[in-house]
Amino acid sequence: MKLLKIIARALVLPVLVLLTFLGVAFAITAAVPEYKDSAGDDNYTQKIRGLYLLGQSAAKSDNIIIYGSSELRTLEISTNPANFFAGKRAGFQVNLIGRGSCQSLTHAMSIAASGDSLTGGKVVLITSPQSYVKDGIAADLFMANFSAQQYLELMADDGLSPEIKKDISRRAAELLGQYKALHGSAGADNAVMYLAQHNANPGAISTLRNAVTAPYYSFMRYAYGLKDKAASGRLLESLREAEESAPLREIDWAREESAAIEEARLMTGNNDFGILDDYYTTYIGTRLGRQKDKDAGLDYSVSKEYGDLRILFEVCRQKGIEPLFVHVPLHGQWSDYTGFTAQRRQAYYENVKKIAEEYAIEILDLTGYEYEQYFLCDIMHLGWKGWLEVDKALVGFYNSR
Amino acid sequence: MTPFEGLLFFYIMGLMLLPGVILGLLGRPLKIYGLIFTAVMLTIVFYENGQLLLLCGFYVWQIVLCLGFSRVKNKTKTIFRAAVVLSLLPLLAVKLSAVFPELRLLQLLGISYMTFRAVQVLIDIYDGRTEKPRLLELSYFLLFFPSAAAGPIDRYRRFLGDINRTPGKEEYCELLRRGFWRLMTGAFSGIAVSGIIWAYWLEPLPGGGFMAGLSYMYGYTLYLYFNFAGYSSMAIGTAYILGVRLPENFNKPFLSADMKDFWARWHISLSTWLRDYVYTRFVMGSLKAKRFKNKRTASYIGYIITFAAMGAWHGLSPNYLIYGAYHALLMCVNEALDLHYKSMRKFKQGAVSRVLMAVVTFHFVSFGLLIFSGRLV
Amino acid sequence: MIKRLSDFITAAEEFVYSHTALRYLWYIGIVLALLLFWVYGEDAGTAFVYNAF
Repeated sequence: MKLLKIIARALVLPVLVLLTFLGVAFAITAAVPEYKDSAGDDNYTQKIRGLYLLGQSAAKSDNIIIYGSSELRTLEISTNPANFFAGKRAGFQVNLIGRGSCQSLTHAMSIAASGDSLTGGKVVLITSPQSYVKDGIAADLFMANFSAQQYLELMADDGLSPEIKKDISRRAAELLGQYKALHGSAGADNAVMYLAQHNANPGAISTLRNAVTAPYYSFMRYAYGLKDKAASGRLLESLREAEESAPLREIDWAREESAAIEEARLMTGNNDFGILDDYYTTYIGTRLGRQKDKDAGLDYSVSKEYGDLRILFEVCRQKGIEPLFVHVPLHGQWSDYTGFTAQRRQAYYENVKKIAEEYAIEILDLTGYEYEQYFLCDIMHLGWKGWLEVDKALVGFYNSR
Repeated sequence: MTPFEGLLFFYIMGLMLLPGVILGLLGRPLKIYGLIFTAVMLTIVFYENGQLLLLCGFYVWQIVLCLGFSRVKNKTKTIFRAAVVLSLLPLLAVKLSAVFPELRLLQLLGISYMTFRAVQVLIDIYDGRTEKPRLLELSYFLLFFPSAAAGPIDRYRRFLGDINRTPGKEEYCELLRRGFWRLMTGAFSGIAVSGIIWAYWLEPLPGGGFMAGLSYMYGYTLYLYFNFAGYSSMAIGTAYILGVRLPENFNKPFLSADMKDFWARWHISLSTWLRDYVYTRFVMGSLKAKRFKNKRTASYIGYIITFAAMGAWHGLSPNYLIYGAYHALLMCVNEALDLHYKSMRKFKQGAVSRVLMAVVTFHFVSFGLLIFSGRLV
Repeated sequence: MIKRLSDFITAAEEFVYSHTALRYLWYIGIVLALLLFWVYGEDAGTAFVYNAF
C-alpha cells in the first residue's frame, strides 16, 4: 500500500509534464491555418526539411510537386513554372521544393518520408548535371538540407523495404560521419548519425544502444512533427490568400516562345553565351580567359550521385509514384569553351537515361537542346526556353493523370 | 554528447540515475553505484567525442602521480614541487594548443577542472591532511561525472566525507528533492534563458560599432552568468541525487560590493581554489621567508600571480590573458583602496552607496567579460 | 537595500521550493519554456548557398 502511494506521488509530476506537452501540441496544431496554394510559388525552406506542407499540398489534386535544386530559384524568368502558371491558368498549382545543394538523396528522403500522401500523385523530379561529380554530394551540402524528421519518418514507414532503408541509412551515415569528421561534434546530429550507422550496419553494441534510445527517437519523431507544424503555421500565416484563379485558356505556345526569346534578349546583352547579364558579371566577367579549358579533366562517368539517383527512383517505385523526370542539358557552347567535351557530356546523358529506363521512369529528355540559345539562363540553370519546354510538358503531364 | 546538453543526454542520464535514486530512497549507500554511474557516463560521453583514450591516459597519469607521491617516505619540497609540475603538465600542453595548433589533438573535455582536483590532492598529501588516498576513492574524486566537464571544483576530504556517508531515507529524500530542483532550475537558466539571450540579443548584433559593443557587453555578461550558473546548478543537482553536496559556484554575483566580493560570488569554486592554493600559500610563504620589505607587497604580488594564473587557466589566448591581468589590476586597486581609504569601507556599508557600488562593480565586471568574450581582441 | 534584495531573492526561492504546488508549477513552467524555445527557436540550420564557383 505504501509502495503504491510512493509510486502515485512520484507519477504526479511526470503526468503533469505529459499533459503540458499534449496541451502545447494541441495548441500548435490548432493554430495552423488552412493550406494556401501560394506556398508552392517559392522554395521555402520549411518545405525542404519538413513534411507537413508537402502532405498538405499532395492532398490537393490540382498541385504538381516539383523537386529540384537551384534552378527553382530563377523567379526573375517569366517561364519559371511558378510564374508561368500563376493563378492556376492551366488548371493547376505548382509546388517548388528544393534549393541549391538539394540533390537526389535529399529528395529521396523527402519522398520516402511522405507516407502515402504522394502515392499516385503528380511529382516532377529535376536533377542537375553538376551533381554528378565523382564523390557525389559533399557532406556540408547534404547537412544543409538534411532532415532528422524525414529520416525518422522513413525508418518508421513499414511500406518501404528494409533494403531501401538500409541504402538510405548507409548514405546518410556516410555523409553525417564525414560532416562530423570535418566539423567536430558541433552542429552534427550525432544521435541520428548513430541511428543511421546502426540501421546501415547493425552490431552488438549498436543494437543495445538502439534498444535503449528507441523511446527517445519515437518521442523526437513526434516532437519534430510538432516543430514542423509550428514553422509551417507561421509560414502559412505570412502568405497572402490565393487570388482568384485565372480563367482557363488555351496557351499559345508560339506566342509564349517569342515572348520568352524577347525577354531573354533583354536580359543577356553583355555576353555571347546567352547568359544572364548579372550572372555573367558576377561569376565570369573578366575571368573569362581563365575559364578556358578549366574543365578539361572533368568527368561525370563515375559518381556516387548515380547511386543516389537509383535510390530516388526506387523510392518512387515503392511509393507508387510515377514521376516525370526532367533530364536537363549542359550548356553546350560554354562546356565546349571550358573543355568539357561533347563526348563526355553524351556519356553522362546516356548514363542517366539508362538508369531512368531501368526504373521505367517517364523522362523529359531535354539533352538535345545543348546548343539552343536561351535554353539555359546561365551555365547550368534552366532558362527562358528551357522552362518553356518544361511548362509544355507539365500541362501534358497534368492532363494525362 | 556534451554533458547537460540535448534531450538525449538527459534521457540517458535519467535512466542511469534511476537505480541510484532507488538505492538512496531505500537508505542504501551510494558510493558503489555512484562509481558505476560515473564510469558509464564518462565512457558514453568520451567515447562519443573521441577522447576516451586521452581520458584514460590522463587518468592514469594523475593516479600514478598522486598514489606515487603519497607513498614517498620523505616528501621534500622539491619532490612536492616536481609532482605538482608533472600534474600540471597535461593541462599546460592542452593550453599551449592555442599557440601550437598541432597540440590540439590533446584537447580533453574537463581537463582544466580535473587537473586542479588532482593538484589539490597532492597539496593535501604534502600538507599531511590526507595520508594514503585509496585508488577507488581517489578515482571517484578526480572523475566524478557531474562535475567532470566544467566543475564545480570540489575538495578531496569534503568529498570523501560525503561519499562515505549513507544519507538515510529521509535525508536522501531531501537531497533528491533539492537535487531535482537544482537540475531543473539549472536547465531553465543554462538552456532556455541563456539560449534566448544568445539567439535574440547577441546573435543579431553587428560585429562592430560602439553601441553594438555596449549592448554586447551587457548581453554577454548576462548570457555567461545564466549559462555558467545554470550549468553549475545542473551539475550540483545531479551530484545531490548521488549523495554528494558539491560546493556552490555562484551567489548573486551582480550584487557584489567590490571586486573582492565579486570573486567570492562568481565561479566560487575556482576562486577559492586559487585563493587557498596560490594566493594564501604565496603570501604566507613570502611573510615567512621575509621576501619583501613591505608586508603589503606580498599581497599585491599575490593578487597579480593569482589572477594571471586565473586568466591562463582559461586559456593562453590574448583575451583570457588580458582578462586575468585586468582582474589582477582591479584586485590590487581594491586592496589599495581598502587599505588606504578607510572611508571607502564606510561608504560601502551605506544603503544607497552600496547600490552604487554594486552598479559600479557590475560595470567593471561586464567590461572584463567583454574582454573575455574575445570581441575586443 | 542590497541585503534586503538578496534576502528577498533567497526567501522567494525557498518559498516556491517548500510549497509542493508552487514547485510543480515552476517545473511545468520550465518544461514549457524549454519546449517552446525548442519549437520556435530559430536554430539556424547550416544556411549554405550552393555556388558553382
